[in-house]
Amino acid sequence: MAFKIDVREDGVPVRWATDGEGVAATADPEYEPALYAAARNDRTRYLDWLADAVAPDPKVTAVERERRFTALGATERSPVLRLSIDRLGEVRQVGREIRQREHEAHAPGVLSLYDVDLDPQFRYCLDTGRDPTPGRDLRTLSLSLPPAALAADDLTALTVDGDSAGDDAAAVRRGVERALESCDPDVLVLSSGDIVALLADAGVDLGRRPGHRKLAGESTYASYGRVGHSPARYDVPGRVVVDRSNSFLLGHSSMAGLRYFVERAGKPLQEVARDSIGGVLTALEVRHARERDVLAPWQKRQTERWKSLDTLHAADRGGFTFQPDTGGSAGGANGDAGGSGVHEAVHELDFASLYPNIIREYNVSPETICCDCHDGAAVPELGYSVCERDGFLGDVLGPLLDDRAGWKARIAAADERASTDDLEAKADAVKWVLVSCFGYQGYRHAKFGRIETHEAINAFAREIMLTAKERLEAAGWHVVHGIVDSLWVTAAPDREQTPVREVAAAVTDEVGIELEYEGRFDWIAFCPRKRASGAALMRYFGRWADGTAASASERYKLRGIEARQRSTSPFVAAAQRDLLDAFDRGRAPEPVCDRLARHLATLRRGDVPRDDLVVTQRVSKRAGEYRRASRAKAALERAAERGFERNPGQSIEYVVVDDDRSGAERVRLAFEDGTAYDADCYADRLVRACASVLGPLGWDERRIRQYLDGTRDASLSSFGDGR
Amino acid sequence: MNSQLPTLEPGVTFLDDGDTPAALYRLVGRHLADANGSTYWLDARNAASPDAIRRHADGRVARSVRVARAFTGYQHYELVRSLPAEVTPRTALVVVPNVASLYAEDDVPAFEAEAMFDATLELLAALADALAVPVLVTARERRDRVRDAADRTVTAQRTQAGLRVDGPSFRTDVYWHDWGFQTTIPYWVDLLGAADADAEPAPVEPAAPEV
Repeated sequence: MAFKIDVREDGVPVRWATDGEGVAATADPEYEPALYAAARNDRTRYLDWLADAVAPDPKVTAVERERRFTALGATERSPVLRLSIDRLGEVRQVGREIRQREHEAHAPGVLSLYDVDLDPQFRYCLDTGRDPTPGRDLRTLSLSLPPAALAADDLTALTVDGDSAGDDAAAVRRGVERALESCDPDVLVLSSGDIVALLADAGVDLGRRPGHRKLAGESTYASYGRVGHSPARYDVPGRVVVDRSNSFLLGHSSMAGLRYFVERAGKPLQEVARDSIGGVLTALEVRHARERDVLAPWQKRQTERWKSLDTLHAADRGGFTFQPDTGGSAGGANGDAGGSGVHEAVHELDFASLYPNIIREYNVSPETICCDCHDGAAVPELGYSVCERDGFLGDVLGPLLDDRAGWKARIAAADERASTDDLEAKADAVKWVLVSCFGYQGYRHAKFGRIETHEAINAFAREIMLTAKERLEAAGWHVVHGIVDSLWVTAAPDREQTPVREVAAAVTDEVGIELEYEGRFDWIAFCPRKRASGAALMRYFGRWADGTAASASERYKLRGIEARQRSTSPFVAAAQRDLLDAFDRGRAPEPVCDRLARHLATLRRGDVPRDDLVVTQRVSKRAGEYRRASRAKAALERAAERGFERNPGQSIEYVVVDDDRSGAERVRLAFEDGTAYDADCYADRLVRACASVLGPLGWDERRIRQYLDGTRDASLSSFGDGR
Repeated sequence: MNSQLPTLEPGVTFLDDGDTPAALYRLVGRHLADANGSTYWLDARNAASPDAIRRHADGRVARSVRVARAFTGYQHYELVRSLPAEVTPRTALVVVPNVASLYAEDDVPAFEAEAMFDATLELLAALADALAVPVLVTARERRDRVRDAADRTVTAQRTQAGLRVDGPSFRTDVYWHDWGFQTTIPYWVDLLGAADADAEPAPVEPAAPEV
């Protein structure tokens, strides 16, 4: 089966299929892609006009009239024009030209265009019904070049499957060629796509035939309010190029996860590898829409329905949060108000994949919500109707939910010696799609998204959580905390309890979504909110009780605190885990502060290896765009000085060496030599990490510093005055 | 306090609200207090905050408001196109805040955005004209275009004395504060007459013009 589709310069697709241990290439000159046009209110005179308008265009080889569904909720097929395009890769261009022509002749929006912006390789597989799943395990070769060497065009630092390729240019060339010959890889996993161009300049072709193509230059974009960066993309004949720096799925899963989506979405490996989660979801949706004979719209024109302020208000409420005032509560709270505090003997219950399960169990989908054919107020609070016909979104996500549940069961049942790596990687890959599907429904550019779907999912989720809370309370349990899809309960004093698993099973039956028993904590601590207002980032940590933990490998469960954050340096992360152990021993603040003092002393002595102090930060702007002299700005300036360009959306790794300076001298980049660091700066971070641990006990940074000052003795004198 | 704000006449009114986004809610609340019929609020950039609208409109009035939000230029244009099917001569008000914002985003090609924006302004004017309903628009971008397309412009300013609203047939004479009200000189002139009895009457419009 064709695992790689090349698109030749003349637009002809070439399929590369596995053939025994080898590969076979087949050109498909007969193939022609197509786009579709429909007219507003199905007025065919606009289609007649378009047919005439494109007649002289050599890029359009045929115009046919067909009938297709133009929306998921459509009950009848609309008349459409099918335009066959000569070259794969020119579809978008034709789409843009039609828009231009329409603009010159008509009011905007008389034509809607479909199947315009699909990846050419994905389109080819969809159109021809070819399965891009490889017929055997693909052979992979990994080429890596550290960022600094890449910036300096220095190939001598190149490694091939972890080994140095050679000491000089000629040796590198020979080394890479030898590796290509002996391994004959189907997949090239590169630390950066730019290695393709760099090696080509050195005379090495990475493909199975000469040449390479740059598909797109690098660009910076904004998505979900976050700035992203997509590096230049390359293509080589006959081999899949996977750019590790530009593959979300590879970064959060593994090749096994990628292969799963190749099969599910019918999108070839190279294209899946560089997809965002939204891209994977769109591919799954487009493929499923095809099965329903529904075209994929280019620009979404579906609008929100007119709604009352009451509905808007109810719809805009976020997910469920239950943060009780713990002052004097029955849960054994020992902290300040706002839901923080330490609780003993707590059970955690989670709704598994709550949002995607709501989509499936409650049939929430763009074409089922607010349907015209069903009355009634199926959606709580909002009063939207829900159609009974099989929802599109549930059909898309259902197989993912089932597959993942199956893998989870196999992982749980697996023999200790058996490797479950692939299963776990696939479960992780699917998890990302499942957690994103709800937000994606509200995303304005989601092809099949709809705001009312997003609102309905949220409304069902709130009702389900409230139901669970009520049932638990009626069964003698006290809910100490609840957020989005998780509840934490302790036995209510002076009450008899129905066993918590029994209650969970009853709730599961009632709401139709499994309320899973996650485990029991000996204690769990909820951190105070950092800001009094606004949505609270959920920060907590707890120690699993022996034998009841969901994951036996981890003693603690951490959420939102420094040790879990990617940007925290290894030193601070390790110190915080040590502070957690101290916290666990007595759940008193003083011993924790004493441990903190020891870490501070190590830091002040200059004993911390610099690699342990590397901070990884995602930059959102260019150096010149930062208004304040931040560390990220300093790191960007330093990188620029060293010819190592970092763009918004990319990460930069640095060590703070002198926080009082501004500009490039404030930091060193991770790959630079040296041992100096700014102890004060890291001391601040340590104290902050300690404050996260002690926050549930009501101690903040100021209180910690007071304690440290007060107990300063000979052994602690290395700790400064604490700023 | 409401009598110190204008009610809106049929036609397109551009509210030039500068640095006072609250002026929109005050004006809408004022207009609806005396009006019957429903209000259509075609939203962009999350101006339709239920809390903010309710703060300036009582329960009955707030219940008459229907909101639809656009998130792209295409959606905005489609919602504008859908207005004629919703709005009737009995409609109290059509509100279109940030009318140009979504057309200024780079997810719509410039030529298409221009065409849709032009059509939006034309459609709103034609709707106001044909049904004799007031249409209130605000704009952050392309303000000159919006001003030219509107039948009138009302400016709102935050002054030390409170919100000041000026229009062709209206000027705020009494500014309300949290602690009470303060008047302006035109108010006293209007009430007591100008000091010079022979002079022309001061060019002062009634505080609360009838519509």
